[in-house]
Amino acid sequence: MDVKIDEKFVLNNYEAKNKEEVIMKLANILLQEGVVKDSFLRSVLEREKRFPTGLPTEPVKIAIPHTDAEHCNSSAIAVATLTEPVRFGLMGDDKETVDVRIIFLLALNKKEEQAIFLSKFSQFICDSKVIEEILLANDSSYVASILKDRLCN
Amino acid sequence: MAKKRIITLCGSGIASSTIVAQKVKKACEEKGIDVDVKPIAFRELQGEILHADLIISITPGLKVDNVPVVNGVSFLTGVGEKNVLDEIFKILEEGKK
Repeated sequence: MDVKIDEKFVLNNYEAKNKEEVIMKLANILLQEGVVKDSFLRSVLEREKRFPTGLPTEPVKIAIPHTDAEHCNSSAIAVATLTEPVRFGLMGDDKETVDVRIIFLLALNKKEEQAIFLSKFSQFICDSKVIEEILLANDSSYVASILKDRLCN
Repeated sequence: MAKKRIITLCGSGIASSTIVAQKVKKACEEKGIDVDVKPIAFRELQGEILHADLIISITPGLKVDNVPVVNGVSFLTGVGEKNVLDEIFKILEEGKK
């Protein structure tokens, strides 16, 4: 699967004041690695205002910020687990919010090739056991290995 | 029952709408309902809407005349997925088109 997952893209127990700070931190990692373009960060933040991506998964709430393919050079996923939750807008809703503990920042650059990845990703985020395991993990290489195992095989 | 056309709608037509489309297509096929499911971006909606029997949206504040709209966030969280599927089956089976 052509979606890069690297331990460099994983932040464990990150302390953030708000969602903008986490998204910026993760987007900068992907920018330094050449995965995304300069326009990616601003585009994700703008999109989050109109189309929020917080998901009320149980028991750990997550968010999956992303944007259009044109802002990505290649495909990758970056992850942050938070010591304290930050507030995201609820996907599909104008008013409700969710307090999120894990952020999966998705950089996807080829729509046609992502179907299999997204199918696995949707099963993955609904699997409460593995999501809890990621939240409790202290080791970025371990989190990266879980993601690779679930999403890239 | 004629083939039903379903639109799944999200902000960019790339991630969430694709996930929802895959799940809905699989569930409808298992139920024996013949469907064409197309993930699209919010900005592409206008041209597609005439042909749709149902819109499954993960876009806030969507208002559409003539086509039923169902919220698809359950397909991303797994929470309440079955209830939403029942609602979808009901709409498709009762639809006049």
